[in-house]
Amino acid sequence: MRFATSRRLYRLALLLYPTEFRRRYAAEMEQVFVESLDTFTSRRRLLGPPYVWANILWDTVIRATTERVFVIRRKLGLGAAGKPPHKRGTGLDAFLKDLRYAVRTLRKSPAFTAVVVLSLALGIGATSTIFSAVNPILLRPLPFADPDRLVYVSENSAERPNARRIPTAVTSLEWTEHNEAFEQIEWVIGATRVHTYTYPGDVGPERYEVQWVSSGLFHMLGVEPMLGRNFVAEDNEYANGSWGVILSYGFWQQRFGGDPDILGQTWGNQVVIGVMSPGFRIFPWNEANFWEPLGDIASVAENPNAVRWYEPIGRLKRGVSKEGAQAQLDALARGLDRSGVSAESGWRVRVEPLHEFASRSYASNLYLLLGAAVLLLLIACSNVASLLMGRATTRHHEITTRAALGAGRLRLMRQLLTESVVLALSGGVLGVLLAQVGTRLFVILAPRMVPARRRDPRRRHGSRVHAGTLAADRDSLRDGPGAPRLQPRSSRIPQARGEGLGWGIAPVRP
Amino acid sequence: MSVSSKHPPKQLKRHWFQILLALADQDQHGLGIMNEVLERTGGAMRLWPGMLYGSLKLMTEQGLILETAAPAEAESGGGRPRYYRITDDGRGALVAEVKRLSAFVDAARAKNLLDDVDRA
Repeated sequence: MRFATSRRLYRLALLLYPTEFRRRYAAEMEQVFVESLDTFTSRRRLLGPPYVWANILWDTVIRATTERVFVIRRKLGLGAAGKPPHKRGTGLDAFLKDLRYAVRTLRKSPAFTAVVVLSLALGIGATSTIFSAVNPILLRPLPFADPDRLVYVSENSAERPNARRIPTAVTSLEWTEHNEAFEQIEWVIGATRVHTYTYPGDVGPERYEVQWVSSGLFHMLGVEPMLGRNFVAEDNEYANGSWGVILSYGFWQQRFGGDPDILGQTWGNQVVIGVMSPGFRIFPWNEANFWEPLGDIASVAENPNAVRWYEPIGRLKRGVSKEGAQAQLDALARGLDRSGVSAESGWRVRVEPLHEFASRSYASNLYLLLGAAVLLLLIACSNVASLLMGRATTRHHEITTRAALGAGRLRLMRQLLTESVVLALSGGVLGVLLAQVGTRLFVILAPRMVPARRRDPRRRHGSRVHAGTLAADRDSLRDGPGAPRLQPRSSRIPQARGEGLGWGIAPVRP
Repeated sequence: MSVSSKHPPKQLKRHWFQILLALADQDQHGLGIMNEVLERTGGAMRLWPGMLYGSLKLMTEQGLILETAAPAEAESGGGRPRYYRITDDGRGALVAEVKRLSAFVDAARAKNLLDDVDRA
């Protein structure tokens, strides 16, 4: 479909209209919009879409406000003819007049209006874009059951605090047997990075991104496949010449065309036992095509080539803190050192919340970006404040004249406030649109941080960001026009890709 | 319920005049009206969607136009569009506006401002 993105954005803009009006005219208005976009794009090429959008935004804000005022008047039973004469010039009528006057005044100073609206839009757009990235990565809890009790366990060098490594399978098995802090410990190969692996396909070798997981991992995370079943202990056995695998939703759609009869199908030496829900991934940064059981860890734990593949993820018992678990594992590690089971001394066990592990590689970068964006917004707001003050000075004569003609102080304040509201609202709407574009750019420019180009078809959070941002815009207008503070509540962006820990080992099928 | 008075304003808004003129000889849908107005005004008057449908709604409420059934062959991307037809009131308002404007043209002609046009 032509102009698919613009159509979606315009549908969002149409939300500003009253529901009744939207239901009646939205489809045809969209056609008119597309026709205009088509005409100007072919006529002005690159300048066409911005020109159309600038006009459309103006048209939408003004008309939607007018229609909403009509609705309110209708509810109050105030027709133009039915209004008592002594009420004219107050309330909604006055607001409409203020609005028209504000629009006329601002149109007479296009440069001033453009600078203010663009400043606000840039500040709001940048902050919203970065917040859209920060929110799902740093602020939103992991999408697992009881995520506060999930921890990632690694080993930390006593001499070099930044040096980490995966504990050996022997060590982590010891933990499961001797500790009282964990309810359950499970393992994954490829937590830090998904491994690309070549499989014999039907028509030749095919390369896939795979994660190997212990059979209880998904149960522990509280995740169930959308189709089929979860792994069970029997899946650790290589049975009948095939491994049971669980597909990601995206891979199921791309490789198998979303075949509803996928369960039980075999390709290569994999047999499909389940399909995960859209968007599921263990860590935000890695998108596996499918998951395989990693086999019986106990039987391979002694394999010297396999010692540091199995990355343990644990669920703490209720009431056990991270520090408590840390102390228990430390004591256990000292015992292991003395008995000589642990390969090296000088390494300390490190228990960290899974959420921290999932975000630590890029948290500082994202906070830095967010700080920069907020600064940009502050700069934009101070610029706008300066411009408004400068303009107030030049309008001294006009305001004095209006006061001399009988306008009260409240009336004048209301007029100036209306102008600020119009400016802030225009900046806010344009900022939301910029944030939509910025989010896409962010995905393109920082794919290592945001591997979201493969979007999940069922996840559409755009309208929620939009609604959240507009709600914030409304709040900011209420608290202080001219300085909107937009914060989207959620977003469909972005899942982040972390840097590897630097010690990924090419896995061998167990 | 009508929001505004049933009586059309004495002087039509510019874009209302153009919309009524577009509907004077045939029923049209919104997109058709926009294109005709755009063509007739040499691109000077583009009716953006909000303005177009906001005006059509108000004009319908004021009885200047009415919605009519779309011809069977009228199928567009978004389904069958709404067609609009000028009413007697609308035609009356349009004619009144044309007369008002033509009075200006006559005045200009009386001052020999349109000689070139008349000779051509």
